[in-house]
Amino acid sequence: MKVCPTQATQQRSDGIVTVDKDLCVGCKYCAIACPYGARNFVEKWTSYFGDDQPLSPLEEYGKKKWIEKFGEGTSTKCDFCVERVEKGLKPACIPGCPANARYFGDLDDPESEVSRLIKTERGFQLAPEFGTNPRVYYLSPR
Amino acid sequence: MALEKGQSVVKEDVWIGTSCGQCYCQCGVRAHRVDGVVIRVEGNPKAAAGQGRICPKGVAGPMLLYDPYRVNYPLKRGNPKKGIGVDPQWQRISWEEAMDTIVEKLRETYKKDPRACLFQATTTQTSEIRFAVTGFMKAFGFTNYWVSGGGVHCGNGAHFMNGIMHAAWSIVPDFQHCNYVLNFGCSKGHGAGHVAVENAFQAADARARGCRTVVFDPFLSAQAAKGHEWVPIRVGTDGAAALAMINVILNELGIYDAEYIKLKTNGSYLIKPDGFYKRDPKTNKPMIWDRVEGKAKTFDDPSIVDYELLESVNVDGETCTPAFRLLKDHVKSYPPEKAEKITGVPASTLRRIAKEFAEEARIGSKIVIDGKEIPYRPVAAIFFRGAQGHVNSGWTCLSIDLLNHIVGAADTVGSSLGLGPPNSHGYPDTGKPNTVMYADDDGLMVAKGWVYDHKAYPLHEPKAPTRLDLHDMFPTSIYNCFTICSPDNEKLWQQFKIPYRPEILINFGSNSVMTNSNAEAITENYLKKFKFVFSFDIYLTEFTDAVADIVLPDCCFLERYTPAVTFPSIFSHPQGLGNWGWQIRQPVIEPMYERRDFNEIMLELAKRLGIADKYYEALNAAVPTRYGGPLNEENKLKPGEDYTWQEICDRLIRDRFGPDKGLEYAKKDGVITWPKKVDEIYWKWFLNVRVPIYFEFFPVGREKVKKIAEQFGAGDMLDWSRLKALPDWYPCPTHMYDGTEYDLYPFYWRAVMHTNSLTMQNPWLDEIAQQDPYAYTIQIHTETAKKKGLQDLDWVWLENPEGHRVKGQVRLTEGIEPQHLAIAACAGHWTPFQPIAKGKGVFFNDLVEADLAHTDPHPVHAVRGS
Ligand code: SF4
Ligand code: SF4
Repeated sequence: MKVCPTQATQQRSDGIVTVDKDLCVGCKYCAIACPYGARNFVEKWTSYFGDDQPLSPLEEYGKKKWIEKFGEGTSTKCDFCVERVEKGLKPACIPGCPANARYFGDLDDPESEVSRLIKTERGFQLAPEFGTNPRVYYLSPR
Repeated sequence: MALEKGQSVVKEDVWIGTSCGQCYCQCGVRAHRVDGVVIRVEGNPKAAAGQGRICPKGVAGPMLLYDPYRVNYPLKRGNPKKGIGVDPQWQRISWEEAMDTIVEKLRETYKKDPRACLFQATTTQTSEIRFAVTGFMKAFGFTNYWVSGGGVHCGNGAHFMNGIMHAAWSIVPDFQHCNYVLNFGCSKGHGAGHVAVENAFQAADARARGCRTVVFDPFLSAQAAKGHEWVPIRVGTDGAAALAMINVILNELGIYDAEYIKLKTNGSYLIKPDGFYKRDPKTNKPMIWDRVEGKAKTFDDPSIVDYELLESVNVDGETCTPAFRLLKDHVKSYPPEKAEKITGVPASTLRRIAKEFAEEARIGSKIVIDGKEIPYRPVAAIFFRGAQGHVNSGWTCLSIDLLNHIVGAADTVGSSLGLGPPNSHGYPDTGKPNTVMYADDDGLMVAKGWVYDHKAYPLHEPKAPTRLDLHDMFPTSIYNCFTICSPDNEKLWQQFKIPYRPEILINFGSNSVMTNSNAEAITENYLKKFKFVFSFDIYLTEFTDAVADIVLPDCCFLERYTPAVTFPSIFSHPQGLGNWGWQIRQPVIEPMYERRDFNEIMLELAKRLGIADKYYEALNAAVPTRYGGPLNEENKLKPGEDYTWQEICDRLIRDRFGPDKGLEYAKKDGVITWPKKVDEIYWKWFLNVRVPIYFEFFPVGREKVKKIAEQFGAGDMLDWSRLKALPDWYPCPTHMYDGTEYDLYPFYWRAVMHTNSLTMQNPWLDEIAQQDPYAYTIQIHTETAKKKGLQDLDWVWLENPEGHRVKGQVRLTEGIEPQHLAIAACAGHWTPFQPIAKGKGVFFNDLVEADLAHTDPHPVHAVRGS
């Protein structure tokens, strides 16, 4: 957030960090600064089946959504699928994991499943020495 | 925030419950459709299969739906020449022309000899093939059939043995209660195998609970990496390791579950010196020895006080020995030191693991679940691909499973469980599907729900062959690809007086040029012999390019109806505590372009050929075994009617769930659920059935098949001695190679992000596979590579002694037994019509020989022999 010259990167009151594509100028400072390699820079939305094929309806939809949300020539990151979270859904990777290895919830609530798991399963953050206090925790192996 | 800006107005936003069809697991899913576009597939929380979770292949489903390389219109071959590498010169034709041509060809063959057809089907769409394939074959009058070419992707030995021992297609640990898993080279619980998703999270929970997993595998596979112990083993030798461990448990440790062996197996049955049961002259029932009364009695005599398991006795002047004693003595020929030489696993390791397994079985213990006290045996030995994919697959799978049975760890709490379970009491309102197993006259278990009419047990009665693969004469096989792919097939057909020759091949989604064995061999020796080939496909494949005359644009799983995908439960229904779920498949979008559903087309063909009544009759007849009991009279398909496919689906569902619960009802959630009962799940001690630990019926079958073969002057075509009553390990041809030129054992493993040869064209799945260092490469041990002067990502040719070669890039790893090469997936596509799949990965199957020398007589099965 600090390195972002345009304040495109913002932290919401619930802690989720987002990138405002309209403000992002694509300077990539954040990608350099991020100790987790979590920033991706998307130059141009590309199709899956090659340029010689017309875009499928799914790709059309995906492209539209992508550009609405992230734009092109901007920096992107995981924002916990904020549009799903706002609808009361979990981020897409949670139902996507067949093994139930991922959890999502409210860290501020000490009674929530995630808070509880971090306590009981020795949750830890990556690279705490950077003092970023990331909201992604890993549970220790059992 | 940016999100609110410029968002478009959504007119339609629906979720539709259906079933995934990206692999045979058939997980329950919900498809999200927005303004007519299917934008996402997620797990359906209401479904028993997956309970809301799916795997990446399922998530990638919409990419299959919208792939621009899909077949969207009927096509005909412009080039009369057939074969690999031939340009088929596809030409678009109308449905009318396609159907007219097909009907005309079918009519000609129908008149000449209907037996001359073959149905070939994919294993990915298993629920679909139970209708159109079954119905059409019977109505038209032919029996030639295989799935996916019946090659190394097929579980001939595993399913057969699981059917006999567990009444199910596959076995897994009771992850919910198991404490110790012996995993022989299979990815169950680690992303693949039947019931993949449910097992993945059950296995993850089991690990968190403290369940220990020991993995025998030449490769540090996903399951080995996640396991507590990896035991590198020489490929194709798992059976020898298992038999040595049985020996340790029975003869060194003296541990076994005597009560289980007495009451739940044929271990007490008396065996005569000739190897067959001592039968009661009056009832013909097998006899046991009551050790308290000192008397021979029939096995089910209510007066039995206690069964003799160990001592030979004299009955009517013959020395008879309890079957258990014969097994116990038989495995003495597998001392761990001998097994070490075969398997490469140290004898001390085999001893230690055997002891851990036997002790953790906690013989004698019970547990209370739902108020019922049930034997608790929290260990399981499981297997699949690794045990299955070699010569002697049947005995190998069985040897591993016998580890379970000697300690009573089968289909009870904590133990190895058949999928489903196989034992369903039915929906509360109707009592259907009812698939409660029963005992035959010998007291042995017969499955009630099965995917084919012929069950694993009792063995089918050998007959003079009428099928091209001579299947009818072999008592222990599902289909035999060797007879078909072998260069000698014409000779065999003449010898066995097969009165017809291949005429029409109907293909439903299989790519047998790639999925069976060496591509050139199967194409030249067999597929090209068919005069007319029509094929339902979603992509053009190496098969269509080589031999198809007409390709029909099939619907994918998101565009079609299927009335029952999770039943029979033995195939893809999750085992263990939880709900039953009868899932359906329904279109989440109207089929695009000119795609049409396979089941609708086959029904239409039956109608046009004038055999619809027979088709209906065949479907009525197929229901009892596959879906748990016959249809009520009013729901049976009646002759003379003109049913649509949806009406047929509706009748079956209504019949199972009640008059108000037909297709429309099932469509609401895509699944109908009801609670499982604990005695359905852990059925072992609730049903009066036994399983064999002595396979007396194999020699019975052997004598019959031998006699038939001799009648046709082919008495020596196979080594019949393997059809015997007790398991043994036999080397693969590869193990017997004694030259020095071919110095490594290549083997195939399942990459979890891919299904058979289907999914490599999916850009999302291809992307994951490319990020996996192993999915598309040949894994070689770092030391082996060094000796050969190879570096990471070098291109190499692999060649087998028969001169077949494949090309690939090597990946150096310490995670492989140094004598081996590991190759994932059914990869290496070359058709220009799948540009994403093309050139990715290694075509392992090209190294597989399909001929008599590489054929396992028990069950008859072609194997990789390179
Ligand atoms: S199990 Fe692990 S790798 Fe697989 S989806 Fe879940 S988090 Fe990802
Ligand atoms: S395991 Fe198979 S059926 Fe289940 S989601 Fe994955 S691909 Fe679909």
